[in-house]
Amino acid sequence: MQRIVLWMVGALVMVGLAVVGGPVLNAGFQPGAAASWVARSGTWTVADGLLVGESGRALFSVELGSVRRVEAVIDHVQGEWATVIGKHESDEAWVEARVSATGITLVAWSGGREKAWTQAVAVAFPATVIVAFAGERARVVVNGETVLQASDGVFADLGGDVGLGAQGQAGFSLFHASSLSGPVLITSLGQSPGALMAKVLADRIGIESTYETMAKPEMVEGNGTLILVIGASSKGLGAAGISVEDESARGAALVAKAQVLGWGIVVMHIEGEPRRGTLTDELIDEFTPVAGYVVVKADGNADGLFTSLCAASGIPLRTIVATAQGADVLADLFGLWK
Amino acid sequence: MILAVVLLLGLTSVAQSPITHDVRPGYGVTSIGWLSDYHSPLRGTPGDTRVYVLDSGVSGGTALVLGGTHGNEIAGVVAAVMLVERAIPTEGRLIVIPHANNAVHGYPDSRCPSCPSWVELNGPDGASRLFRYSPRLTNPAHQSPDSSSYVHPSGLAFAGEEARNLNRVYPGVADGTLTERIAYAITRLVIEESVDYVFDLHEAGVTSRLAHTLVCHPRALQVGAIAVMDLELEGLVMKLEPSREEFRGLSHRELGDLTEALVFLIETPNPGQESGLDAPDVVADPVHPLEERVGVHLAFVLEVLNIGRSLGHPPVSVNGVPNHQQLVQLGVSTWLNW
Ligand SMILES: [Zn+2]
Repeated sequence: MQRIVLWMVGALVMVGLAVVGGPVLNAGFQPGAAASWVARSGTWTVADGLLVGESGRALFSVELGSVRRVEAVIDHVQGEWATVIGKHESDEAWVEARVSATGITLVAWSGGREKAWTQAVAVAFPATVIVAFAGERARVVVNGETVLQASDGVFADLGGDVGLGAQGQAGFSLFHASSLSGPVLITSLGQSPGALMAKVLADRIGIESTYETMAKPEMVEGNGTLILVIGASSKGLGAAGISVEDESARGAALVAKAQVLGWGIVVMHIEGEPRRGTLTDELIDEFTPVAGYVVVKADGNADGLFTSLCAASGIPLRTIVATAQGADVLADLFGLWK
Repeated sequence: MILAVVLLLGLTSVAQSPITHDVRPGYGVTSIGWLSDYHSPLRGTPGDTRVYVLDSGVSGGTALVLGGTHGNEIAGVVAAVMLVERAIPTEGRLIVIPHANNAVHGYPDSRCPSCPSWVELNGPDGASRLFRYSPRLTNPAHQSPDSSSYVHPSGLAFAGEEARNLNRVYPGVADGTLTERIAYAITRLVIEESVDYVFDLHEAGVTSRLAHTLVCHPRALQVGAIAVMDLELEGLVMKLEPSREEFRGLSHRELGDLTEALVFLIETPNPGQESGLDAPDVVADPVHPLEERVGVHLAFVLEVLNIGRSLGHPPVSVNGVPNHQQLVQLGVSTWLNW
């Protein structure tokens, strides 16, 4: 069963698109990718790992809540701006961030009225742009810096699709949209203390979470998000009387149940280089591709293992330098940013 | 002949009184006792050692700091001495045993023939102080010869010489070997003084997997996880390891299992414990100087106490202790009494 699930995900990856179960949409743009986007206007083509748009909008259909975030990697802008569309109910009701080399404009169109918030900032491409909504608040994060925050009822009211746009030509190498929510089930794959660190981080942002080192599929019920914290040592597993195969099977069962119930899945490796090694790497290889989002501590990815696994599956990879920074990432993912 | 016997007995009795050290208690010290106060058969043996109590007079918890479990792990000894000389508790109590195994002295270190027997620290006005740098294990002259193996009461078997390793014989045996009696007395102290936090300060070879590790009893793991994450933000990088079941005989496992205390073991890198180094400088190593290692020990002790307090564990607050940066900038001697 586990192999079948992974194979299916793998097959989707091969055509360049991994739609992870639940309130997460990931898209990479490999040649020959199945079209998950719908060109609403302009021309949209996939070439050399990029989705290239020309004067128009492409929409992705996914069921997301009002509290949501859209993350895109803008490869280049040749023209006026690239657009990251956070909400699109209709051509008359939408919110989008326009990104140029010199600034960001957040534009909301609703009820026949346009509202706009602008921030001048030098943007280096490729640029990772996050447009996030939480209640009446919205923010735009560019290359790790929050460059614009705004508060307005329109952000809470609207929902709908997400998407990308271009005024002139723009290229995108990654698109991700998610609407993760609690309760969160945090478990370890490999029984290292990284999972406990993730629990501490979850507590810090005040999200409801359960920490269970040996979580079983029965604990995946209702709505929620599964956080798999990978980290193994032969000593830890040996002492607990568990093999890496046991952990792999338990993880696969959790993932299968989470996918059936439409949970988001976040994979974390937050103990750095000392927590890499043969056993850990087996779990990384197996579970990174099923993630909707991946968080890694930089020195744990010094060899680029996560980078290549995530790129192959079109999964956003967030890198932190210190483990404690994981709290900000979780706050971002769950719409609990300040 | 009779005179010779009397002389011999006299010499024997002199040789068996515990070695005293150059420790210069500061204003924080409110009483000085002996480890044998907690197990009288230890009195008059080389295993007896000084116990320094620093009582704030304000109700709170009790923290026990053990330096010198292993005679060559000098940063732990100096960190403990520094607490005796400089710490001023403002809440709860600090109990410090700078030379937890005081029976390690007076014989050559076969593991490191080029290591010093004394470490000299220079102070103001040409003053200097000497600290013993001794082998890891109890002096074989103080204990019956090693068997081919040492079997811990739990049934776990170690190499024979480990019978002289204080950190393999916890919780100790009341009428056992000298090393077992030392462990027993420390266990009695933890129980009788209702110790809430135990810190066992160690060092390891600079390339050892153990160097830069905070080992926590499972009940102490959450506090440890927060300490590791918080101090990483200040540039102090430590691995977090839980005590495993197979760590029978070790302080963090046995004291944690037997008492309510949160038990931690801190490991810093000591070039003197690196095999293959010709003339290790255990004080002024350019990469791992003593002040850096002492700074790590003290930073983790104080951080754990802060976090314990914030999580509702019995509070122990301590002033007067330099932070890591102050130690690195001004050196160890600045923070000792002269
Ligand atoms: Zn040691």
